[in-house]
Amino acid sequence: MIDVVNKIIYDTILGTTPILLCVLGGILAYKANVLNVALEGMMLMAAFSSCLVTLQTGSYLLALVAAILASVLFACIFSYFGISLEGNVIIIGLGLNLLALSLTSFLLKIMAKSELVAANYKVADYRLNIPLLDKLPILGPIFNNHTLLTWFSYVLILLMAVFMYRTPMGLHIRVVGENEDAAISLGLKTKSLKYIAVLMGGITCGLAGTSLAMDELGGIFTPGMTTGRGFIAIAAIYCGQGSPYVSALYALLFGFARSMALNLSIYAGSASRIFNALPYFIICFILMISSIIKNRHSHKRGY
Amino acid sequence: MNAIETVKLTKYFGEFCANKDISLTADKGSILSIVGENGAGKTTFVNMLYGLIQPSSGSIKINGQEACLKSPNDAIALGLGMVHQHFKLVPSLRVFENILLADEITKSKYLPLIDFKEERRCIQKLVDDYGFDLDIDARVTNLSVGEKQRVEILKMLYRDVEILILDEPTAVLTPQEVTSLMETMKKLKKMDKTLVLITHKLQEVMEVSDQIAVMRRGELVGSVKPEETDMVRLAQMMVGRDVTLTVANDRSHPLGKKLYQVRNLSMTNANGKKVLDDITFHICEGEILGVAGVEGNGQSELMKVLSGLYIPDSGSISLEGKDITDAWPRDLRHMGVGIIPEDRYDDGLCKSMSITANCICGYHYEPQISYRGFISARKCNAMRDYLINAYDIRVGNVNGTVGQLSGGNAQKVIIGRELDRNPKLILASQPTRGVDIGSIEFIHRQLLNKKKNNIAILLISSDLNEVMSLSDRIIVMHKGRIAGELKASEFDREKIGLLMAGVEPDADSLEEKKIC
Repeated sequence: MIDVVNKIIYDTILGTTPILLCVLGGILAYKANVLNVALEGMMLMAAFSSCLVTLQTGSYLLALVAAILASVLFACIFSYFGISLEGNVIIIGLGLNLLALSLTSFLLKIMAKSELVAANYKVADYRLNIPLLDKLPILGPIFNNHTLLTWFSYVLILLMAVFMYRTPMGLHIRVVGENEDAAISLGLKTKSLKYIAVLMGGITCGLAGTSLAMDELGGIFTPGMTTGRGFIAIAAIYCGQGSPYVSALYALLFGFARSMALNLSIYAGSASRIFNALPYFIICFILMISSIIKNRHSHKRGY
Repeated sequence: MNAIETVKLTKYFGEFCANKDISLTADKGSILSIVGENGAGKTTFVNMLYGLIQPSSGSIKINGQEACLKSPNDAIALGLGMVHQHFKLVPSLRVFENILLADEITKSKYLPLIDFKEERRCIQKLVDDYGFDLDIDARVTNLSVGEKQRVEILKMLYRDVEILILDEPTAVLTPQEVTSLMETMKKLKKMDKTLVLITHKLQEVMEVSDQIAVMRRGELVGSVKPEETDMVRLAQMMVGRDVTLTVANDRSHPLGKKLYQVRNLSMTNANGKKVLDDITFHICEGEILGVAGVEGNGQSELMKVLSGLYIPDSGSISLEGKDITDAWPRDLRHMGVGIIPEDRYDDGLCKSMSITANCICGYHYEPQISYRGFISARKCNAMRDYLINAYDIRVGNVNGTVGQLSGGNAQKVIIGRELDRNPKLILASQPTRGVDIGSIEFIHRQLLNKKKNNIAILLISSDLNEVMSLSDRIIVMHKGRIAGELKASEFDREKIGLLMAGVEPDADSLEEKKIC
C-alpha cells in the first residue's frame, strides 16, 4: 500500500514537470495579455526534436538545444502573426497546434515509423541519486531519482516569481498586459515586451517537451503524445490568474490527477481506460468551480 | 522666451483635415489654454506636441529649438509631459511604482533587481517637495480620481518636465478638487513651468489662463487674453454662432403625483464591494430628479439596475404603484420607460448596424413596426425619416451606419427613439456626454419639454452644471449611498461639492435646513 502511495507521489512530481514548465512559460504571455494557445504544439515539436536528436547523436544536451530551438521557432511564428500582424491569437495558436501534430506525424511517415524510440538512451543514467536523500525512509523514494529538469522546473517557480515581481522587465511585461496605453505613454516598447514574454515561454516549452519525451517516457516519441498537457497548462494559468505560485499549485493538482489515473488504472482491469479520463474530468470540474466563484457576485442578467 | 512654438502645424487623417495651419506660441512660465468643442482638433494638436502622432506638415519648436517628435520618449526627453484625460495608470501597482514606471531604480547597474526601499524614499521626497497629499504605498485602484490625477502629475514632475500638457483635467473632479488643481497649476507656474490646458470648461479657463486659443473644426479661430474677453464671447468663438450656454429649468411647472418609487436598493458588485447601499428616492410627474456625484460612486450601477440590466440584491422599484423590480428592459419600455443609457455605444446603439435599425431597436416588436413577426422595412424607413426630421439628426447618408454619425447625432438617435414613444418616465444617464454644444442645448430643451408634458425624468450626470440647471431636486451619491438631497432653493455648488466628496456639510448649514 505504502508503495502505491509512494509511487503516486513520485509520479506526481515527475508528471507535473512538463505541465509546470509549460505553465511557467505561459504565465508571462498571459500577463502580457497574449494568451499563448500554442503551448501544446510548441511542446509537441520540442518532444519530437529532442527524441530525434537523441536518436541521431545520443547527446542529451544537443537534444535539449534542439527542443528549445524547435519550440522557440514556433513561438516566433506565433509572435509574428499574433503580435506583429495583430492576428487573432486563439486562431493562430490552434493552427500551430494542428500544424505541430500533422508535421510530426508526417515526418514519422517519411521515416516509415509509427513512433520514435531512442534505444541508445537510458533515462536511468540521467536520474540524480542524491547521496543522503536515498537513505531517508519515506522521503527518499519520493524525492530521490529525479532528473535535473524536474529539479529545475521547481526552482523555476521561484526564479519566475523574482523575474516577474522584482525586475523592471518583469514589471513592464505585467504593465503591458494590464494597461497597454500606460506602457505606450511612458515609451515602453510594448510589442518587444510581448515578444520577449512569448519567446521565454518558447524556451520553457522546449524544456517541457524534452522532459515529457526523454524523462517521463524514457526516450519515446509517439504522435500527439502531449495529449492536452498544453491546454491543461492554460487551465492552470487561468485558475491561478497568472501568479507563479498559485498556477504551479494547480499544475501539481493536474499532475496528481494524472498520476492517480496512471497508477490506479493498473488495478481497474477492463475499466482502466476510464481512469485516463480522470485528469480531464478534474480540469472541467475545477474550471467550473473557479468560474462559479468568480461570478458569484455578478448581477448581470440575461444569461 | 517661447517654450512652445508651432508653425503651420497640419494633420490629415486620410481626406479629413483634423488640424489646419495651427500656429501657436506659449511663453515660458505661463498657462496656455486651448478651448474648443469635441472634435475641434484639440486632442490631435496636443498628441502631435507629445509625439503620439506625427504632423502631416508644419513644425514644432521647443524652447526655440526645432523638435522632431517621433514618440512620447522624444517629448519626455525634451521636457514635455502630458496628463491624459483617461489616466494612464496601472491600477494593481502602488503609487510609487506608477510614478517610477519605466524609470525603475535598480540595486546596481549589473543587478536588475528593483530597489523598493530606495524607490519609496525617492518618491516620498518628491511628494514632500511639491507638498502633495498622497500615500505613496496605496494601490492606485483604491485612490480617488483627484488622487489619481496627482499621481499622473507627479509622474511627469519626477521626469523633470518643464512643459506640462493637461488634457481635460477637470472633467471628472469634484468642485473642491478642481479648486485644488487650480492651486497646483498656479504653484507650478510660479516654479517657471509652462502649462498647456485643454478643456471646454470656460470658467476654469478664465480663471487660470494667461493666453486662450480657440479652435473650431480643426482651425485656430482666435487667440485672446482672458482680460480681453468673457465666457459668452469665447463660447461664440468656439461654436461659430450665438449660443445659449445654459437652458434652465424655470421650475414654475407644478409637480404631479408620485410616479416612480425606489426603495432600499442595494447591490454588491462582482468583487464583493457594496456599490449601491440603501438607495431610496421617488420622482413625481413633471419632475426632473438630478443625480450628482463623482463618477464611480454607484451611478452607473444604479442606472443599470433601474434599466433592468442588473439584478439588485435587495430593494424594490415601482412605477405607478406597480412593482417593476427585476423587470426586463423590454418590459420596462413596454410599460412606458424611456431609457437613455450611460454609454451610448455599449448599451444604447449598435455601431455597425444601420441608422434605420437603430431607430427602431428596442421597439422592433411593436405593431407599428412589425406585423406577425416580420419587420416592415417601409415602416422602419418612415420611422427613421420622421426621427431624423423631428430630432434634427444630421446624417451624411440615411442608409449609413450609426458608427458614421458624430457623437452628438448618434446621441440624438437614442433621444429620438426613446422620447418619441411618449414614455411616462425617462431614465437618462449622461445624456450629453461627449456631445457638441449645439446638441447639448437641443437635448436639454427636449428634456424640459417632456417635463412640461408631465413626464418624470431621472437625470444622472457627472456634469454638475447640467444637473443644477435642469433639476427640480438633486440627490448626491457618494460610495453607493445617497449622501444628501437638496431642493431647488438649496442648490449650491459648494454644498453639493462637499456631499460629492463625502463630507457632511457643517453644522451651520444643517441648522439652516432645520429652520427652513
